[in-house]
Amino acid sequence: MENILESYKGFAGKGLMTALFVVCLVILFFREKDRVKRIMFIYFPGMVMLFYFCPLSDVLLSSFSGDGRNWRVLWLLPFSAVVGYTAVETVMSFSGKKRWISGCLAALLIVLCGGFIYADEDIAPAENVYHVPNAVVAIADAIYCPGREVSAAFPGDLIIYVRQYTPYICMPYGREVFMENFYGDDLFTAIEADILDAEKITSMAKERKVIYIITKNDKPISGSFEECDFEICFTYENYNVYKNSLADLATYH
Amino acid sequence: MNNMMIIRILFLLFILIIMPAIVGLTLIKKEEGEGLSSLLFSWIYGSVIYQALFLVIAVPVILKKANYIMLVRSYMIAGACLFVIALFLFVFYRKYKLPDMTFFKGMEKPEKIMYMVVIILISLQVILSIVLASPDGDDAYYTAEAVYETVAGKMYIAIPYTGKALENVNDMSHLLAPFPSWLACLSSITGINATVLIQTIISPFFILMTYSIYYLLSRLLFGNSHRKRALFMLFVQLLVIFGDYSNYTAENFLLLRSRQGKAYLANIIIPFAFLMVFMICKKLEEEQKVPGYLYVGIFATSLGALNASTNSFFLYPLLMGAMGVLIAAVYRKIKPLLACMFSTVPIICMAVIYLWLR
Repeated sequence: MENILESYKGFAGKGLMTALFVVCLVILFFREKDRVKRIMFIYFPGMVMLFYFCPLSDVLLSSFSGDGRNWRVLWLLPFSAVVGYTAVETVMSFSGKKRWISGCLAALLIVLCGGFIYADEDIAPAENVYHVPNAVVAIADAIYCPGREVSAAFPGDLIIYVRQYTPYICMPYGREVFMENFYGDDLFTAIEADILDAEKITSMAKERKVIYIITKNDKPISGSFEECDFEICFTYENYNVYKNSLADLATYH
Repeated sequence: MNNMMIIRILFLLFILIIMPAIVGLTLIKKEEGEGLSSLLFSWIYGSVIYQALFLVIAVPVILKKANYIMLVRSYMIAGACLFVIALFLFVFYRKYKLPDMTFFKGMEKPEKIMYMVVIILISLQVILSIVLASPDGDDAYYTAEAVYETVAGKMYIAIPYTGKALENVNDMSHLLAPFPSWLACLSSITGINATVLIQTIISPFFILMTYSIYYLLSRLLFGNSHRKRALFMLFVQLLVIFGDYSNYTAENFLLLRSRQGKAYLANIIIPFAFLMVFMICKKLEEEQKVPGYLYVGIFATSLGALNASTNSFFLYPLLMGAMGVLIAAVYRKIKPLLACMFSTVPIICMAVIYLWLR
């Protein structure tokens, strides 16, 4: 039951929109006479919610989706259709000025209960048509080697974009470093550290046959990448790109 | 944007709009009344048929570890044959005429204004989906896999996150829902870069499709009352634009992650199945015969659901199971119940394969 409530809270956020949905269901239950609409907007959502909150369903769903993702059952609930329909029927039951006022109040209620999508912190103007940072495009194009893949270790803010742009760059670690239950990656930890330990990073990179290391150039470095055979070959914005000078790209695998 | 890119985008429009619309128009019976509704329904119906076709071709190809190029060619040939047959039937047998497209006919000024506001809001959302980037960690899998397939010509042999070889195929959740492979095929067929197609171009299609479903729903709810329908569409706009009360809502997935299979499932497949069941219930309520294309539609939609995401393993049977039981209980009709149950057969088979291979 805890799992179900946890997943519900994750889906519902502050719970205002889901509360509005339930209020609309109750209104329709008492006011809606059309049998088809009662089936689609009252009985069906009721069955889905009963299933969702039933502890036995958690056992069944976990066998497919794993823990914590059962909130997807709530996608079956016709939120927008039910709330929209109830709002229209309520507004249109008035006439004249009252209709305008009720329409504005309904809109205000939706705005207050919801969250403005374009204020989401993850959204930003696209830097290019690939919707990846320009740094990824510039670095990937610079280190691209025709006819072969190259291995490069990127800092955390660029990891998820690299292979969306090009499959020619392999990485010693990828998006899994951000996932729960990830065991950890020493090379990633070293590149993300506040002070870059050049000897440690380069020795792990050589062990894992990484040719390029990309670091943030606003971080202090302990030691020297150049003394460890990684020479700086490229700088883009606040990123330094180091290349293993001993790696012959014709033969290095 | 150069001329070649414009031609490629027009070709994509042809593949994603014209071809499904013609296939859909051939399969459905023309509904009396508003022309726009018939066209929109046909478009979505035909799109789901193409998703189903892709799944039927792709899953055996992927499980047999065959070449990606073989998948692209098979899908192209099968899709083209389906279109040519549909076009032949459409032109030569003339089961119906093209729907009347005078959308604003008979509307009063307030309704026209409301619809104009709806169109402007939808257009804004479409434009913003192109000019704004909404990064998501799951793209490091889906987009990366699609890009890899178009370049390497192989499928699901490398871990998309890193490029390392997949030593054993144990990630069935992605193999059995080859939505990224469908996007990769579109990229290969049209020549549009896979990343550009997925991140920039495809979202507008899915957003328009979603709102088309709501528009069709408004017709079922309010009939010929354009004032109520326009008001409903306005409220739906607000509910979607203000749907970010958590990261898990279907609305959030629609505007921020529409390129992903999960978003396609939540915003197109499930609502479209809901719409078709609504249409079935209306026919039963009016004691009219339920057209066969609706039963075919819910079956094809189950295959489309499978193509989109393995979340369909539990979502679609739950949807159809609940609907079937309700229809049987209210209308005492066995045929719709059997149709709903039968539509889940491919999903149940695939779920069994998934659990066996996992």
